[in-house]
Order: sequence, then C-alpha cells, then structure tokens
Amino acid sequence: MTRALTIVALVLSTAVIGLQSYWRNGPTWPAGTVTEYIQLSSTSAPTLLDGCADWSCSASAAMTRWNAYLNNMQFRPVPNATQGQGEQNGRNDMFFATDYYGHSFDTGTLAITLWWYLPSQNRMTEADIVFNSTKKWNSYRGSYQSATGYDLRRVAIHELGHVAGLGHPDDHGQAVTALMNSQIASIDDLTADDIAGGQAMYGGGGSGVPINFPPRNETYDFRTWLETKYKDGLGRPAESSYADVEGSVVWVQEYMRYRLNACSDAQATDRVTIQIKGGGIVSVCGAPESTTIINFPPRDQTYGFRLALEDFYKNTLRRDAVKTSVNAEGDVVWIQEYLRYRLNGCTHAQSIDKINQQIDGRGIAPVCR
Amino acid sequence: MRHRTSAWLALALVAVATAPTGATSVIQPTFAELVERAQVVFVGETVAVESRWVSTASGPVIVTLVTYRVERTLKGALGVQTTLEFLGGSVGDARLDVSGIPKFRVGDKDVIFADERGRPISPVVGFMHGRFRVLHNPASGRESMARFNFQPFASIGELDPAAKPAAVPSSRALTLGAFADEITQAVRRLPEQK
Repeated sequence: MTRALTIVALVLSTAVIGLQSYWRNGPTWPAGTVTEYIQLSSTSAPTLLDGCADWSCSASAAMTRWNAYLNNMQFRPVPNATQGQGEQNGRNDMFFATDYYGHSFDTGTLAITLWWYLPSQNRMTEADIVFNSTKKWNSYRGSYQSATGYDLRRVAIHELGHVAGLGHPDDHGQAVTALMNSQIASIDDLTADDIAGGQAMYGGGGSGVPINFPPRNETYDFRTWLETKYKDGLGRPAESSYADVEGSVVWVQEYMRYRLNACSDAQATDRVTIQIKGGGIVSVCGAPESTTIINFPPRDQTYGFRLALEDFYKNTLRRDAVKTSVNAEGDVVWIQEYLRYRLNGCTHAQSIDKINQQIDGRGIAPVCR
Repeated sequence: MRHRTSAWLALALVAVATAPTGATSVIQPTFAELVERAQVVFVGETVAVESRWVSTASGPVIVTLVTYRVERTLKGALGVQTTLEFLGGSVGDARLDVSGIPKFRVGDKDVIFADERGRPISPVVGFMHGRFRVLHNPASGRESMARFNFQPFASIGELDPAAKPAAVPSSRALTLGAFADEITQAVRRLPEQK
C-alpha cells in the first residue's frame, strides 16, 4: 500500500508538474558567454546562512545553477565588480538600489530585470538585475524565512532566467511548478520546467532512450529479501539510516536511469535532488553508447550518491532515522547489481538467486544474455 | 516510517503544485493592500499606447505612455481620460523590457489600481497584481472579472495571496459591477481617503 502510494505520488507529480509550460519572452543571447558584473558589495551582507562569504558568492552560485543545464550559453560571473552601473552601458550589471535610475520600486518589489534587445535580430544586447536594497536579504535553502529575509540566491536564479530569455509562465495562464513563476514560495531552485525552458533556447537536454527498469515493486521486493538476508543469513545488526528502504529503492533506480542516459555522477545527483524536492523530472543528458550492453557506473560513484541521499534525508528533509540491517554500501551495491541483472535479461527470481550466490561467496554469476 | 515517505512525497507535491504564498520578485499584495496603496482605481479601456525615449540621470531610457478612456472611477479623481507611464517599450529597433510589468493593447478593458507617486517603474500597484481584466461575453453581454493572467475569480477571497488557486469558469466569475462594488466598499472602509 505504501509503495503504491509512493508510485502514485511520483506518477502524479510527473503528470502535474511535468507539463512543459515555460514561457519564452522571445529574444535570446548569441551562443557563447554572457558576463554578469556582480556589484552587490554596496550593501553589506549579514552572516549568510548557506555559508557564502558575500553576495557575490550567492549570485555566482545562481549562475552556476543555470550553467549546469545549458549548452550554448553560459553565465560568467565577475564577482565584486566595481565598474559602476549604467543604462545601456553594454554591461550586464547586478546591483542593489532603492530605485531604478530614478524610477521607484513598488513596495512589494524584491528585484527586477530590465533587458535591452534588437527586435530586428531578436537578440539581447544588455540586461541588468536590480535588487531592492530596502528589503532584508540573506542566502539560504528551503522555505522563505521572514525573520531572516529574502533568499538572494533563488531570486537571482529567477532574475537570471529573465536575462536568459524566460518570462513568468503564470503571467500567461500556465499552471506549472517553476521558479520562473511570479508566484512561488518554497521552491528554492530550478525545476524541470525552468530547465526545459532554458534548454529550449540554448540546448543541453537529451532525449535518451527508454530503460526497461523492473517495476519498482519488484526492486522493493528484492530489497526486502536483502534485508532478511543480511539480518538472518549474515547476522548483521540493525543500523540507523535516514534514507529509508523505499526512498533508497526509488532514488537509486532514478540515479541509474540518468547515469545510463549519459549523465555524469554530478549531473545525475543534481537531477534526482530536483526531483526529490518536487521540481519535476529533468531531462536526461543524452543517449547511452549502446542499448545492447548496459554499462553501469562505478560502484563508488553509486555509493557516493547513496551517501548524498543519506545526507539529504537527514539534513534537508530532516527525517527520523530508521533501522536496517543493510548498511548504505550494501544497499547500493546490491540494488545496482540487481538492476544490472534485470537489465541484462534476468528475471526477478534469477537476479535474486545470482546475488544470493555472490553474497555467499560463490562468485559472480553471468548475466542472462 | 515508510508511511512517512509517502506522506512526504504527497506533501511536497501539494506544496509545490499549489504554491500558496510569496513571490520570487514581486510580493503579491492583498486586496485590502491594493485598495489602500492605490492613488486611483478606475475601470478603463486602453485607447492609445505610445513609447518614446526619455532622459534620465543615467542615460536615455524608453518609457511607454498608456492612455485610458475612464469609464468609472472607484477611488480618487480622474477625468474622462488618464495616462500612465511605464518603464520600457519599443522605439525603432530598440526595445527595453521589464520583468513582470503589465503590457496593454488598444481595446483592453481593465480595472486598474494605480499609484503614480514617485515616478514608479510601473504605476500599476504590485506590478501585474493591480491589473484586473474585464472579460466580455458577446452572447450574454456579461462582463466578468479575471486576474492579470486571465484567471477568472468568483470572490474577493480568491485574491488573497494565501488562497489556493481555483479553477473558476468565466460564467461564474465575479461580475464587473460586483467587483466595483467590492472596491468602493473597501475604499469607504479606509480610515482616511487619499
């Protein structure tokens, strides 16, 4: 029942928030680098909750988020720039101000982006981002904290989306989960829809190929068998884990799907994290080199992902620890091995049998094709 | 514990799907705040849109002057026409756009909450939030209300930033007359007319 609920939730999340409703304003930048002059040092930063030393760090991190997903355009931050701001000065300035060159902010305005372009060429020529210096700012993840102030990083990610060429989907009657919406609360990062919008303009997405993973209930069933094997067969004591069995099965398999579709370890981890946070399913990175021989990532990388998942469940989701006899390493090693057998022609029962042999020290049985 | 996983996923889904409060770059005002902050509130039809260069201390910028035929004034005092200045616009082969700023076309009919004091970037209060579209049904002649993004609403309560977005057909949306009444009543409740 519980697994069914999770799967329903995942399917529902795909159905509801997987709708691609990003809004393109029209003009874009030529392929290459878009330099952003970060001139935020005029307003002293408090102790930033995400560990950044200054506003430049936070704003640069916002650019890094877009850069991770775009092929043909990259933001290049110039931290702590001192060139001075100006309208139509040929630079993309990012700064704090109480108004915009004599035009006052509405009291509810946190930041605005203004961009110049040539309609005849549909090409951006300059874009400035202005943060309202009368507001209280910080830099952090998670929900908005009124006592702390507004999170400059997420607002910068949003405004940089305008610089790239995206508008507000909800201004145009679209209902989609996106940081680019004019109305958002708990979203602190790009979502699948934002990324799809950026990639529609500057490339970077991959269509991949369908990977015929086993039904998740079967992977879950294998993991339940593994629990019994470790507990009763190997006599392993129960240990604490913050990522529960269900979470591990679901997200390790999703990590694998990205890895098998040309994503690096970092790219796959980032995409899964967006998904866990409710940001939707981001496109894969490309197609696998071969669809007949399924090459799995090195186990140490999958283990690294599993540790990152553990950290995310503990510190971001603030989950309570659960008890399991299968430690994190055994968890990912054998889930990956189970998936390797399944994707290479073995049935559920055959896969369990072959893994049982491995755990008992009887060698690595061949795949089934 | 496994039960909590599903609960979290379901909660996360609901939280992000409804996105109840706050904003990334503009904080949505409440209806009461719109009424309070607006210098004037009027029902108007856009009759002219003209962009031009103007000088500022930092250099020339483009502004757009939008002229409205005022059908009814709900707060403040206006003549038969009024003009509002917005930062941004298009002149020749140069265009300046501003994120979130309302864009008007000749023939648009809206209820507008405006405040021109201090030469704002957008004189519409709360950027897009102070603009309400009047939807005209040619068959019935009914004029009903929708938000800036053409999302119809059936009550003032739905305009609350914390309200869950509701799918309201335009046939059930608040009429222009009823919305105007709500505004005038809210204006009367203000401690001091501005």
